[in-house]
Amino acid sequence: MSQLDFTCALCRRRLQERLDGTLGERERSELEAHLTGCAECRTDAEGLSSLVSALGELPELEFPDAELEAVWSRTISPPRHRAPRWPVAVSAAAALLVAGLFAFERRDTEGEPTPTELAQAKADLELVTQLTQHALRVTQRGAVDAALHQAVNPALQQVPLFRRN
Amino acid sequence: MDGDTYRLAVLAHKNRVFGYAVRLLADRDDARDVAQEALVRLWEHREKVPEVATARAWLLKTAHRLCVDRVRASAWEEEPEQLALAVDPTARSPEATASSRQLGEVLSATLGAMAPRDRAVLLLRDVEGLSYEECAEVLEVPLGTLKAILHRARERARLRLSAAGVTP
Repeated sequence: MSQLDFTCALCRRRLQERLDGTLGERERSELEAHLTGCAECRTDAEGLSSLVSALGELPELEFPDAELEAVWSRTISPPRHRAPRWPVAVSAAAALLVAGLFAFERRDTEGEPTPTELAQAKADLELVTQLTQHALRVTQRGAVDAALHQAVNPALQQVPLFRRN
Repeated sequence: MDGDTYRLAVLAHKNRVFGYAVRLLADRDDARDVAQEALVRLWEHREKVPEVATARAWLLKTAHRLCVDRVRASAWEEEPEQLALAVDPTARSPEATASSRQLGEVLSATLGAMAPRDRAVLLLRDVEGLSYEECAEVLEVPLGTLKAILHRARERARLRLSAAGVTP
């Protein structure tokens, strides 16, 4: 092996070390000196660094939405499955509230309520209150899920930390 | 890792895991299955992966193992003959080097024509940006061996592109 061959072989190893960021100052100077005088190694060096840069710029491939839904359904509940429930829950609570108020008004027009009617009205009111509280909780969760799905998650995709290091 | 952290981890890393599987297997259907399974396994092993940031290496390692299961053991270090000529001939023109999209296609074809292990190390280190230690752990090889495999794979990829008349 001639001195030139040895130097070029060593140069190729040093080029990799330069890409790895493990090259010392002295080795770097030797490498630069060799590259200045060797057109073949210079071409190899350019090709190698361009290859690594180009690999780092390959486009991100989008994981299909249908597959993502399958992941949610196999792990945690998907936001889209919960979201449709909250308008229904709110409507049900509102309907019960109106019915309860209507019943109270009817009783009021027929004189003093009996103890039984009062107890029934109290129970109805408690049920309506509980349903309303439940509807509010479901609505809050649905709104948070919708916000996560529509605004927060797409925004997170723009954060470099979550895209790649 | 709780449910909210898991959701963030999946949204943050799903495309990287899917992209790695697509490029390693060169098969989108298999890659979809692999990525989905890896993401589900993250939930099943959530106690071991507390943070979103550490989930990426864990997911890529899991996806890699699932990919290896789908590649014949004997083919792991062989170059796939049917893909050896997969470089688009139109990309050999000088104009082709100016187009990053075409360059991406040529690079993908070049990766597809390499042995799966060479492809894996380039994807993990130069595409996904894992550290050498993380790459070595995924490929289950010592650090020195990892560097030797990586350097050889880079040199082979460079020669393939050069032979195709493409300078990245």
